[in-house]
Amino acid sequence: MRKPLLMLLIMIFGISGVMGCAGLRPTDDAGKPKITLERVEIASMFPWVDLPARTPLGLGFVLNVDNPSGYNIMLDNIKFTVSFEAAPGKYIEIATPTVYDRIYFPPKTTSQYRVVSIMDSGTIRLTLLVAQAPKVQELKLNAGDLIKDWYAKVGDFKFGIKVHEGMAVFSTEKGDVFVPFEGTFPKK
Amino acid sequence: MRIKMIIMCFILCFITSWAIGQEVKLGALQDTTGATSDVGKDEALGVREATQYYNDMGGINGKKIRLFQYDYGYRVPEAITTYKRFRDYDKVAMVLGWGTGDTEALSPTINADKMPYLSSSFSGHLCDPKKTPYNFVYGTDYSTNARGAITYWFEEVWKKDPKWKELRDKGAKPKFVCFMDTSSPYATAPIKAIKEQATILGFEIGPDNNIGLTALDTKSQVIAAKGFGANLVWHGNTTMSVSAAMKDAYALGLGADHIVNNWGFDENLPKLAGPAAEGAMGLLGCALFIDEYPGKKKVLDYAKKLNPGVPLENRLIRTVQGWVKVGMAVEAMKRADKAGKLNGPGIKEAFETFKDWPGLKEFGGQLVTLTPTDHRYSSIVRVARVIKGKPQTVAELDMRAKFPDRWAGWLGW
Repeated sequence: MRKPLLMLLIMIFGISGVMGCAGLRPTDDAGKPKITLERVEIASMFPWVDLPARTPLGLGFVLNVDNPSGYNIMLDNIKFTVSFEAAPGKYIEIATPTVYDRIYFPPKTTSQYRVVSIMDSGTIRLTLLVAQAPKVQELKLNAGDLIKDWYAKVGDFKFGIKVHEGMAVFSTEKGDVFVPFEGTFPKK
Repeated sequence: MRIKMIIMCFILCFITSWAIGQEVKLGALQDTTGATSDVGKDEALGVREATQYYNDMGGINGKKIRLFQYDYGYRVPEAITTYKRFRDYDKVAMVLGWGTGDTEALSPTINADKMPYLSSSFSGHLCDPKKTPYNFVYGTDYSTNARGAITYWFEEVWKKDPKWKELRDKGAKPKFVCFMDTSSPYATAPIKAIKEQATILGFEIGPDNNIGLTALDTKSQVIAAKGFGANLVWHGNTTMSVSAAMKDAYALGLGADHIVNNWGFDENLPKLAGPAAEGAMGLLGCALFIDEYPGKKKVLDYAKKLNPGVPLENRLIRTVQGWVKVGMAVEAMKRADKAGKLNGPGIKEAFETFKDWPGLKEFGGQLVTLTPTDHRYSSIVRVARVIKGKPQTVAELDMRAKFPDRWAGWLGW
């Protein structure tokens, strides 16, 4: 009678352990995950159509996720801001991709994680005319000309694309771990 | 005996791991790239940071809040499709909405779905539970605010300021015009109310001037207002467009005073419009980011913790508004959960138990009272004025106390 009960308890304990913890442990500073921008890719591109028509542009951001700890870590959500270089060394914010897909990274590995962001020339124009208008005015640029120029050059990455204000949140059994990151492509 | 002890331990372990695994899902529609992104990006940061704070404080009675926050670029079709994902796949408990256009477009759907919807649109149309029982707002509604602002200007400026003495002495009526994007549900939401208030106060009302939310040049509209002889302009757009209109008004010598809706009045307005914004009046829903308020430390701490790459000097009142929004949602969800009804109808009922709830005071918000027959967040209108380049609160008007006979009739528009 006691043996089956003990077996049942061991099974419950095992299942609850797997469900509740999934191998996650707190990440101390030495084992804190690190994120770097590996590269930016064109995910999809369409022939330019003059504004106000919208021309889509899909960019893929390939991020290296380094887990130096001895435990699995779970990425809970990740967001970052994308800025395009408008003049040498001067960047303008274009979009803020956010992803909530949960994914595990094994211990002592560096994995690649891709975030694809679909933009379009109409949305970029609105951003340049509203939230980024002071910067555009400061640089004395015309929003429409600037966007057309970006579309002409983006295939060869002839201007810098910056990923900044990046924040990845990893869940552990001791709470959330926040990992800020940034990077620029092409690397100079 | 030993077996019993072991069983108790295992049961406790199991219950604990089950409780840790519980989540409350919260959907949030944001505009970080569209026509209202000048104010939307900062609000989105505040929503994210506040959610983390409440999670760190124990979430919804021990249940973690899982926030799904998406930029819909102020495009109504994208808001609708994102809402469907929240409802059908993410299975959120409630939604934090953004614009008036999408909130009003979604209203029939969310009410049919019994989905509590707390929006950054404070449109008066969303405050009558007979029509929109699941819509809630987290600031004094646009119509009450607009009525309050024009009343304040009439009583404190038109009747007292030496600038208008000559016209007063001649017995002239104050002349009033509206600057707003006439195709924007946000910008047009309080126009009927402010014009009615202008009529009550005895103004002469001029023709509306259509100024787009993305306008950079408003000279023709300013010239039209000057031709009418406007003494007071209501600005119904967001900060970028309002600053463009104020600069043109200043350059062309319009000479009128300005009153500005909540989403057009913040720390950025004097930065963008410079001296043209000096003296302008506007409406504040809570404390400015740079003000002193009881909750400031946590707002700053979480801004640094979650978004260290965003300079604090660029932060606005919108961050604090994000905290107000999440704080109100969390309180309703906690009450609903305590009552064992953490679902749409339960959260709605919980909101409707708010009676002089002081929770938002730490962010400079108002005492909140909501009832099953009135979803207006407050009757208090907080008027501020740009003084020496900084928006500063100059008055609070209680519109229910000031117009007791009219207050009930203003519900829902």
